[in-house]
Amino acid sequence: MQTFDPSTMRGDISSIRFEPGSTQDKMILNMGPQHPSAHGVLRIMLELDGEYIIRAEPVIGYIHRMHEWIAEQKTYLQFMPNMGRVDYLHAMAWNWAYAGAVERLVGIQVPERAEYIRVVVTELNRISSHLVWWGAYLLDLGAFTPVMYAFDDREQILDILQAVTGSRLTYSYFTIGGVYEDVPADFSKRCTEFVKRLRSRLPMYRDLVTDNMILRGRCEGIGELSVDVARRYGATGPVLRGSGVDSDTRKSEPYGVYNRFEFRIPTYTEGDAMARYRVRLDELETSCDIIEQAVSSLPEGPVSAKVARVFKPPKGEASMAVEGARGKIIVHVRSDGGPKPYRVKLRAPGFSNMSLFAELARGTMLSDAVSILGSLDLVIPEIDR
Amino acid sequence: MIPECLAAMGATHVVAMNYAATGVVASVSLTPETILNAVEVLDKEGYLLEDVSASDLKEGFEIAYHFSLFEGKSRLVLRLIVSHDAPTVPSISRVYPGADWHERECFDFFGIDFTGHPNLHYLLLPEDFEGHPLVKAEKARKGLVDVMPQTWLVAVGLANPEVPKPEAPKAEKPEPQNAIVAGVKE
Repeated sequence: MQTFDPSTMRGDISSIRFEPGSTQDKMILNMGPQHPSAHGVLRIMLELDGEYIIRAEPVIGYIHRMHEWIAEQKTYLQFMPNMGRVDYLHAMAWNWAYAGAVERLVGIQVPERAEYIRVVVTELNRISSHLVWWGAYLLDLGAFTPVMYAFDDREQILDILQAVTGSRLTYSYFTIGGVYEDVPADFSKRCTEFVKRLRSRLPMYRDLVTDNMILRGRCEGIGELSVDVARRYGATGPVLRGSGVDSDTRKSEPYGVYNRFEFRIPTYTEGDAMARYRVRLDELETSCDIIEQAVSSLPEGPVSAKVARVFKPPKGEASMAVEGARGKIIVHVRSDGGPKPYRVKLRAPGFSNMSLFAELARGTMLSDAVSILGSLDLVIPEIDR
Repeated sequence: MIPECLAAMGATHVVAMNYAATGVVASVSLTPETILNAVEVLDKEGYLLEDVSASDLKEGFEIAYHFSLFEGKSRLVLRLIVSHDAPTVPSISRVYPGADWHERECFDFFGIDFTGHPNLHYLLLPEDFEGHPLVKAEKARKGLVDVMPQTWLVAVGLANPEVPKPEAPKAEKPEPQNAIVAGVKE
């Protein structure tokens, strides 16, 4: 419970709480909420001994929008557009998690073609998310050029997805029972061309950045994470796979038609920032493989089950786990038999990954904390929800 | 389908759930006294903490802990109910440090007091915020019988298995495919 009354305090309450420790030469430093490497509006309070971090405490909630309360005020379908705004970089996965949870609750069968389209757009979106992370992470580490290459490639994806969904970032393409609209006629062709293009660029990414000794110096052996710590903090996605755990929701709880495709789950055992970096870059290839298989076998047919705009699911609750670019996204939906959800809970992977930061940053240099923060791939709107 | 380790938890009810319909393999009903022991059992088995969430019901606040293994369909939900007047439950952040933030989020939204929590104050809401936004008005609260699937209710003894059986096929069969598909357009 709150131990003291904030109304009696003056100034910034988070800082007042963060009392200096007993070390003599300590300094309290606020990183953010407008720090360029804080990716949006994240604030971290640090207690420093010289260049070394004694204690770190993230302060979040600057863009908290209370999506879970909004869900209770809207009908099931009306809440869909909110899903594109939770994690703006991998909106499709959130679309899927929510649509999937409601479909489970109601028992809706999604048409085959819709399932394939869902896979393709989600994987395209995953690539674009990883590309943004790649560019931004290197920008944090002081390399300006890579972000230009990353955004050049990402632009191709945005163009494809714009033709499909009508929007470039906050997609609300999924609907309960399928997808909102069929893909354009040249969709498969454009996807294949993009995959070919990205594959030709990956060796350059490696030569330009991955094999760069300055990058290695900033990433190798930094922020080492053991499997047990990751598990107790609930870390998922590339953060967990960078610690050598072969765990991916697409394989462990296959949803949609993922069990029809062959793909490899990249893992690295080092557990450091470099391992997480490598996992994400390898995942670009994984996603390319899936897209190629999916567009080559795209079936014909309807793209959505016939579902009324307002419907009343039976009483009960359903959860849907989806592998997002940052890890396991789960949406829990609970119905009381009415037209609006009784309770919606959004489990954001970044939330759990972010809570790891205090643990990882302890005892590292301040400049390494920036590298660790970047390697966790944080999207603050998703953490704050 | 139900993992063996659940027997050591001292649970009031362990109910196998239909994964295809709920995304969960088993639901474990606990009390605030048994939750710490239960998560220690899961920790030994290598479960990963997914989230801690709460829900406001007539009976009180229901707190649900979701856990899963690295592989396979293995999601467990541990649930317990605390009263509206004294919503107190031991914090599990000693066993699963990742629960720290999840419990703070439950405090934000519902005002649940996690005893033994190292740092329980607003996480997502501003410090001078008053109240807890997801607490429902007395009238809007629904009971467990209104929000839980029939199979679960029968298993924990909240519904009579004989009575709903003749009803269930009638009501349930057309619902998933026809009633909704054909459109309850309002």
